[in-house]
Amino acid sequence: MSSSSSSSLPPCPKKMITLKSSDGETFQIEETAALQSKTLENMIDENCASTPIPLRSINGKILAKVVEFCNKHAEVGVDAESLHAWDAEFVNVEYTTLFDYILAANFLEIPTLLDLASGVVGDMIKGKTPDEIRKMFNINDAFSPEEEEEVRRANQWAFE
Amino acid sequence: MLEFWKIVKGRLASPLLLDLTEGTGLSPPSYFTYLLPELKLKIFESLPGIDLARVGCVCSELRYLTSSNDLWKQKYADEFGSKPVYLDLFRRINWKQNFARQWKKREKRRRRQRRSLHRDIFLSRARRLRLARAERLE
Repeated sequence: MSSSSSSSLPPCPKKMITLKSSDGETFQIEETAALQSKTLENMIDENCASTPIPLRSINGKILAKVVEFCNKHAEVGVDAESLHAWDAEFVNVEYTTLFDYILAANFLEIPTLLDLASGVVGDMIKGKTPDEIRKMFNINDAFSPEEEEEVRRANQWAFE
Repeated sequence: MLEFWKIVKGRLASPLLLDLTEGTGLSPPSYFTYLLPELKLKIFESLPGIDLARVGCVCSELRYLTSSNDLWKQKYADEFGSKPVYLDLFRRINWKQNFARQWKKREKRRRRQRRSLHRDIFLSRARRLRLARAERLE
């Protein structure tokens, strides 16, 4: 990583790149904020970011949120505590949106967002029984009664 | 084997199913089911061992995914602190089994502690009552 570029003053005018969502919306994001995404960083490094970057797997609604996340996390002088509170509010969404965040963070390779969103899904699983997890995630392919019995026996300790 | 399955499921089966359900207007079965196996594993990283074991009782796919020995090795370290590395050199450790064994041992110990705590409370209350009665008699 080049440490010299991050320690020097930000170049002015600010370099912007343009992202295009699957439904054709375009978003401007500062290059410094976009660097949180490894995918975008690679494109910037290879000079492929001068034209709008099409992101076919991310719709406008989610891309807007991802850009907001990157901007917030690129802000200078935000203390850890308020960023933490901001993050908590950011993931206070329907669980289908959480999955969209996970997919977008995975595609764009944004580790902070991936950790945040998958941690929240993990929290939703905590303390639930297999039946409750099936209901929550709408998982229909259950075991056969014999398998169910076998699995329960092998994991009895987790139900006592 | 896991790698092969990840590719077949993640890159082939799931996208195909998504396209099919979209094309025919059927409702997609489950957001969670569609996540790539590596993303499900990512979610499981943050789970305590007991919840991971329960997730393994949900369906065949999750039973398979949560059986990863490396994952259980991490859970073991999170819950009980890690074992010396040299143990790994002599034989392949089944980390889930080890986790379950340690868990049961700890639960038993805790139950015993709770019982003896209750007994202490009971005894001290009985002693207080006896003293009070003795005072009254005087």
